[in-house]
Amino acid sequence: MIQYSGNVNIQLNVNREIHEVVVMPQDTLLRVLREKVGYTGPKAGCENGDCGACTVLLDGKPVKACLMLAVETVGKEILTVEGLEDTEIQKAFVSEGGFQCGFCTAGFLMNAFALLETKPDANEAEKKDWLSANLCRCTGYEGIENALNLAQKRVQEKKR
Amino acid sequence: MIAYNLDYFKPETTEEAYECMKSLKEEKVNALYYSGGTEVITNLRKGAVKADAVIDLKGIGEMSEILVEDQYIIVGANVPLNAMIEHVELGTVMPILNKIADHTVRNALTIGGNICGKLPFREAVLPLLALNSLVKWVDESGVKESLLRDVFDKRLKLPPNAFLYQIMIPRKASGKMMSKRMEAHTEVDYPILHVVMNISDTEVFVGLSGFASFPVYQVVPRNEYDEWSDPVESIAAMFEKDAKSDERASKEYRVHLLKNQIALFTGGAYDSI
Ligand SMILES: Cc1cc2nc3c(=O)[nH]c(=O)nc-3n(C[C@H](O)[C@H](O)[C@H](O)COP(=O)(O)OP(=O)(O)OC[C@H]3O[C@@H](n4cnc5c(N)ncnc54)[C@H](O)[C@@H]3O)c2cc1C
Ligand code: FES
Ligand code: FES
Repeated sequence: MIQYSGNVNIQLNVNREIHEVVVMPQDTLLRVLREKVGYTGPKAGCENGDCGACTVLLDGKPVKACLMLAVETVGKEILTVEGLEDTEIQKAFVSEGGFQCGFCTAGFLMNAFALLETKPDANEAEKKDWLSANLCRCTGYEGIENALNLAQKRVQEKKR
Repeated sequence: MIAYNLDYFKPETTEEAYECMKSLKEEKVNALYYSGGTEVITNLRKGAVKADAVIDLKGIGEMSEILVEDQYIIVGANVPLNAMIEHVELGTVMPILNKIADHTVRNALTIGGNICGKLPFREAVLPLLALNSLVKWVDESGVKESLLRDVFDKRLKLPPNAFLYQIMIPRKASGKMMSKRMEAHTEVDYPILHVVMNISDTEVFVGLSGFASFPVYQVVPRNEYDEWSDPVESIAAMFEKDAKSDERASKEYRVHLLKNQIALFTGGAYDSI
């Protein structure tokens, strides 16, 4: 049985690199990524599961890092926005103006990236279902939607 | 941020998990079972619940699996809702589960955590009750099994230290399942009313979430239901005493929505004026 108590040394696989960090069992993945590993892409918005600003990928699936303990993620692959490299969704966010203040952007990018990886042919209902997990306080939804549609088109073209 | 210390245990077998809870309780350690963690972390962070330790059940392999057998689809309590929604054999429950929380949260939120949760909604229990599913739990003497309807009354009633292990959903769903979820503002929100109705040859099931301070349901024999002159009023009468008023909707409005929806499901009449 795995047991953690007090300060514990764990290894986290973040953005394809192993990071050794000292955490407490009650530390959320979000806090550990930001304060111990040093990746501040995932944002602390509501820390209540509502806004999606903290979204990261865990073994390829989007999850809210504020609702997860860091110790739970040992042995899993964590991907933050810092681990995205020149992807279609990033390029489309720039060309379509998918952000205003940028606070929500990392969360939207991670979720949209995972959607295009898992379901490149996602229909409108699926896109809405996935993206409704993220909120944009600047209400820049139109730019975000356009960016997703453009990135989807490019991902589909590459597959042909 | 959770503002106080917590111990974390991750057993690998059911026996280990049960013994872990039992011994922690004997040492007066306040421990919680932990699956998706979405409710536990929220409650600990807000200080709504106090705990010294969590026992993460995700180390028990079979509790994260969906197995298809002759008569039942066996769903481990740690299976996230999205895994159920995407499973080809679970099409009947999909339209109800895919309204819960949001897509990202559903990657973590588990069926067991939803049913065993403390929040009033626990919407995932409705289709399982409607389909007359069985549940298996682990207690002192091992794995026990029962009809969910026999152990769910406002909440899942398990013996002390026991935990939910698996849910057995009948493969051959009898009847016609209908559901409708209504929210006060946006779709990603808790419901002011989520109605699930299943009409089979032998019974009529109606289950509600968001209507009362806990999920409520009623089962009526089909022959009795067929004799009702006004099913809309008869069904509403069974639930009216449980209706709640809160900042989202009044009791009267919830009852109105219920009657209207039952009329739509059954092709009956309901004059709201
Ligand atoms: C943003 C957001 C929106 C949400 N919206 C909805 C909604 O619309 N409708 C809805 O119904 N729910 C909704 N929820 C989910 C709900 O509030 C709970 O968070 C969730 O159901 C808990 O599931 P979990 O797997 O995360 O459980 P956990 O947080 O791990 O556990 C929840 C409770 O169950 C106990 N427990 C867990 N597993 C077991 C087990 N196997 N045996 C015995 N006890 C166990 C724990 O001790 C705890 O008391 C939402 C949650 C969030 C974060
Ligand atoms: S910070 Fe995690 S959902 Fe808002
Ligand atoms: S761009 Fe400001 S919150 Fe979305």
